[in-house]
Amino acid sequence: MRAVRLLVANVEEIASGSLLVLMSFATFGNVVARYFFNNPLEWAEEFSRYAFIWVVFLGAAVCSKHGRHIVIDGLTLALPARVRVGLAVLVDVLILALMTVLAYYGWILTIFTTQPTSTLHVPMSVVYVVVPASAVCIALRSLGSLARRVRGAGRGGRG
Amino acid sequence: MITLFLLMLALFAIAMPVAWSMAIASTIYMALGPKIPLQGVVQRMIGGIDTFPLLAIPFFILAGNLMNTGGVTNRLVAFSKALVGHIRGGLAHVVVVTNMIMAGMSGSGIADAAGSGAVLIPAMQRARYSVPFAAAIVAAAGTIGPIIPPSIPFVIYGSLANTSIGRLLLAGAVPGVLMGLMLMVYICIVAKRRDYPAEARASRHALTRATLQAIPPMGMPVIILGGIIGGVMTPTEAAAAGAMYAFVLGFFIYRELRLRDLPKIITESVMGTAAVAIIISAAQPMSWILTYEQAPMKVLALFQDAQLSKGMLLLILNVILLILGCFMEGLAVMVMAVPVLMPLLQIAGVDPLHFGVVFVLNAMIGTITPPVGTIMYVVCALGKISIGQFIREAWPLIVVLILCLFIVTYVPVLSTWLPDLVMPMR
Repeated sequence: MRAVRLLVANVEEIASGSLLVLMSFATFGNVVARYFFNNPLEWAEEFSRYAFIWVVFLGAAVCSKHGRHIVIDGLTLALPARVRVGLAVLVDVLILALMTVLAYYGWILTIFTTQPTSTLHVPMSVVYVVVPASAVCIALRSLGSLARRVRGAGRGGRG
Repeated sequence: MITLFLLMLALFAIAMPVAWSMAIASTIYMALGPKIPLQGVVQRMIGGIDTFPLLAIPFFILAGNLMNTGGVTNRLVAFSKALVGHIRGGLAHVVVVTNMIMAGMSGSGIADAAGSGAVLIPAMQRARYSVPFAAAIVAAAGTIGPIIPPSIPFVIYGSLANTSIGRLLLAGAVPGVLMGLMLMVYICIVAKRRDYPAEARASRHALTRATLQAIPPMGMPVIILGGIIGGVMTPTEAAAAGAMYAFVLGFFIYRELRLRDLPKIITESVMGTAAVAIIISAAQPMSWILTYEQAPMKVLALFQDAQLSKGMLLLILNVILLILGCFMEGLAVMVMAVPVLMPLLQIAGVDPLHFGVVFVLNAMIGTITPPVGTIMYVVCALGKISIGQFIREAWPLIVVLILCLFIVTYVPVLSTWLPDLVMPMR
């Protein structure tokens, strides 16, 4: 039970981390296969390219979780704490709006872009679905931090 | 269009993540302006990172994180100390040399500054250097990181400008060394005036030992550059090979890497990758809008009307980019500016390879200039100093780097000599 909960709580990290490792092996494996066995892995480049897209978008969700997005905070740090909290709420609301847009239109794209990819022959939807999925994760994160701020129970992660 | 930029800058200012600031601004533009279906935003965000060359970014970051177990940094510091520690202002020279070597292993200036600063700022403090001076040296030396290959910004520039990434990586080597030497000259002058100490000279035995211990990490640049120059691998594949080497080194040779450290290292690498790549992705719709608004043509017309010489053009671009670099994140500037500038450079006869080095060096100076500067934030946090304290010590170093920028701008052969020598254009 505890293991399951840990898995669910870190699902973005586990998925993106595994993909990063897989794409490293695929790319390096391709060099070995081509150079030493004269037999390149045709699927490796396409797989790695799509895995990278997944890593980036899921990774964006992981960054939100740990407050690791690149932020220019030099200006807000000079403001009084109360103004800063107000701005942080504004930022969360705007991110929530953006993620709603990305989730909605990302989903539309996922449904309608079903043509198969060139070497792996999986529908492009498999690539696009990462956008709504990550957007929902980030939106939930913003909602959570909004709720915490509204209740005034300290400051949560940003982004 | 101007409103779009003002909106983006306003979002930056309220500490909205850079990527989302650009995505929000371009979504609003597309919804209100040309009424483009908003799927276009998502499509362009995906399309912008759907290129094989950019995959070098996660691999460089992974390799850097695997190497950064502490053991490697300490060995490189020991080696640098044996090399230059006995010069007056020894530890400051050690910072520069360590960063030059680390630059050959990681592609990120922030990682280099953070890694070497964590070890060397306290060491310099113990040796009675002022902390702001130590932090300023670490920051300035950190800017060398992405100039000496491997380099994440060169990978991004190359994929934006359609320029050979292999040649770009090589192009940075000589300018990177020049930056290091110029910083060391400055340190010599300051060290004499402030009477900074020198470390004891290393015995021949100690030097040999330190050198031997520092050799395995240097296999990294050998693999990456050798693979690219030899035509065995693409830069992306070479980066993946580098990551494999870093793992083998840490796990089997130094035995400092433990399996249970891996999840943390991998998650760190995912975050490092995403933080950078999501900006490239989110800048794509913005870059599309610039093209839609015919910004490249307008810029071109503007410069053609002004009848500028090539030298004057480069001067103006450098000044504009330096000013932008103070206020904006360098990566965002790059993704938006490179496609706009390319036609102009082509007509003016500027080599995109040479301009790549100028652009990245310029952007790196932007990371240590206030108010927005990622490396500056890192070293200020490490040294627990204010940005004001940092600037009092850093401004002469910034001047030295700008001087270096102008040398690199007006002596193109510094950038083009090495790539033309070992990887001539076919």
